[in-house]
Amino acid sequence: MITSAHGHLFTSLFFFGFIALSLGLTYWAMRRARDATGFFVAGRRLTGWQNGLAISGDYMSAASFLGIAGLVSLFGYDGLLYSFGFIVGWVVIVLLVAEPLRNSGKYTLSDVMAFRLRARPVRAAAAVSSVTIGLFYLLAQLVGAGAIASLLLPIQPDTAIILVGVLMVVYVLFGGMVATTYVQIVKAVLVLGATIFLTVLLLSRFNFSVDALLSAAATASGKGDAFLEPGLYFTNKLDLVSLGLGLALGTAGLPHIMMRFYTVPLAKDARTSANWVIGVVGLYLVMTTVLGFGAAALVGRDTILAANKAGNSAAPLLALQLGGGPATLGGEILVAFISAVTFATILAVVAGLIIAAATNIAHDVYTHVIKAGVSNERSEVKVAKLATIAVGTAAIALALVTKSLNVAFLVGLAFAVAASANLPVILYSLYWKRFNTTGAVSALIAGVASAVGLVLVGPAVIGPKGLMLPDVQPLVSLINPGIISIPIGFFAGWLGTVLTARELTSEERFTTLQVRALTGFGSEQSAKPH
Amino acid sequence: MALSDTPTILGRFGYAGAPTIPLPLSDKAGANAIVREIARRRTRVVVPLFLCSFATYVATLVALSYFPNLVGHKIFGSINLAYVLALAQFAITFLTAFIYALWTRRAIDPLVANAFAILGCSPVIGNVR
Repeated sequence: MITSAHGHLFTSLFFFGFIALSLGLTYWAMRRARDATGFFVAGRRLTGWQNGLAISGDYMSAASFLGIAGLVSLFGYDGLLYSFGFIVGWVVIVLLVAEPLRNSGKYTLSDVMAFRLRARPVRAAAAVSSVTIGLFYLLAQLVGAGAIASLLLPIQPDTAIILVGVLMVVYVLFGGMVATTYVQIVKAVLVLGATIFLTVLLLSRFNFSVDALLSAAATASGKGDAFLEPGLYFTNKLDLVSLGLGLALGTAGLPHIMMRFYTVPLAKDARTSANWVIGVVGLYLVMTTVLGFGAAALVGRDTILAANKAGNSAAPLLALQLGGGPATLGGEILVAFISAVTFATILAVVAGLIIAAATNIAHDVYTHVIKAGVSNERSEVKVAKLATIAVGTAAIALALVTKSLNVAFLVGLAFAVAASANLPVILYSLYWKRFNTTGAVSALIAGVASAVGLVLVGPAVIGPKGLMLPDVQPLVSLINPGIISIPIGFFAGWLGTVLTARELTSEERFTTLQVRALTGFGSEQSAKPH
Repeated sequence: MALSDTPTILGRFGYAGAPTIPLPLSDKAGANAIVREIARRRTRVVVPLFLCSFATYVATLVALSYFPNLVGHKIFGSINLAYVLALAQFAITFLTAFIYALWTRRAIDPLVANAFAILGCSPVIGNVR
């Protein structure tokens, strides 16, 4: 897309500027992230708004920036489901999860479950689901990185994936949660700023009339009014409902988002963080609803498809157009800036995902499953650092072979697993007295197995549109498993509990958990200031 | 003595008209009663709030999938009901969080502060912000 030498120069300048800044932050964060609390939860010393911005940074991923714009530009209205589905999930978090979670846990989502249930089986099962979610989400980001890089720089997508992978491992390895947080904050401000700028530029082309923009998009798409109505992407009606449920219920089960609530001193601050996210991410997602239509109107379907079959390049192509068009100085500067911001987005989100997965492995699997809770903080951090390298390498390798998937779809899948496995167990742990270990393990296993299994036998993997076996009919017609797998997860948790004997420790500890979750009495304290 | 007379940390949480409930001070049973009261209030307010916003969302999804003629209805120029419903989800989420934040500050935070006061410690140990 960019072929001129000065175009590459701009991209490189923006890109290396952000890398230098983020490495500087990592260096500054190094001594603040040495002990376990510093490394895993930034000493629990962040203020509500800082953490709110960092979560927003985590949440405004390449999936929304590239994926939503791409889907809307190709399929019209259906892509908007991601926009509003991504925000509705925060109702669950604010009302039911954020504050009790901060009060009762230490480093990971599983802490809340293990507070009252038998630690080893529950943590092992929860680690499987959390690492699965993390991997799907990581793949989405790395695939996005590849798509962007190949458009802008004279490098191969593979090189970009490896570069992003190595950088994020460096952030996490040396700067832990402190570096990850500040990289997220810088990036959140950049993405929000860039989105506002693009939206204003776009709307100014249409005299600030959304009506005129939508008409232009409908006309340019060649599909007329149908482009502005649901039905072009989700040909199976149930798929829209299914994805919608997955997005709304999955957010509260995303390990890399939820563990961020441990980085603030009090439950009140967790609430403040969540409110900041709703404000910042809400504003951002509202703007994504027009950017995709803008790309459809100004760039056009053929150009978008030519650049990337899944539509992932629609947003940068729109920036090129808004800056003045291909081979103009303005166009090249703007696309270089937008692409560098997208790169920053991907780097930051990937760092957040990596630290979440490393924490799951070190805290849940190593300390509590392998060492049965007998371990010291120093070795926990050491294992987390080894896990960072391992997860980073695995994600890079997987991303190199799954380059052709739409990033929004991959993220939708991560949400479905989170909603089907993690959410039932968190809600039951916090609010159902009778809940026991068998119930938790059943929900986790059934949730992961049903969500992943349904995708494997569905149209995304087998059949004419899938990855393999083009002559075989898929066993289920749903692309998104949520509507089946979420009830399965909740049902398995209930059934596993009522079919087995009451667990007296769990019911006794439930009372203690309730006191702690509702008041914060006895919860983990924040460390000294940064 | 009413709980609102409790000194120390009320300033951090409380507000002028913070509700008071008559409970004995320096008493673990009193703290437990407060926890039960918090749980009761949350069930009464948070559950309906959640169900309302979630039901609206599910209704929107069903309308988008199964009532194409309805959501295709144009409201202003080329802006149709489907687009308005999408924007409405942002408004509902924002409103829900706003109501919850106001309500918690009034109805829950003072109770939490009281429970801590009864148990004789502060929720801000180690935090010198």
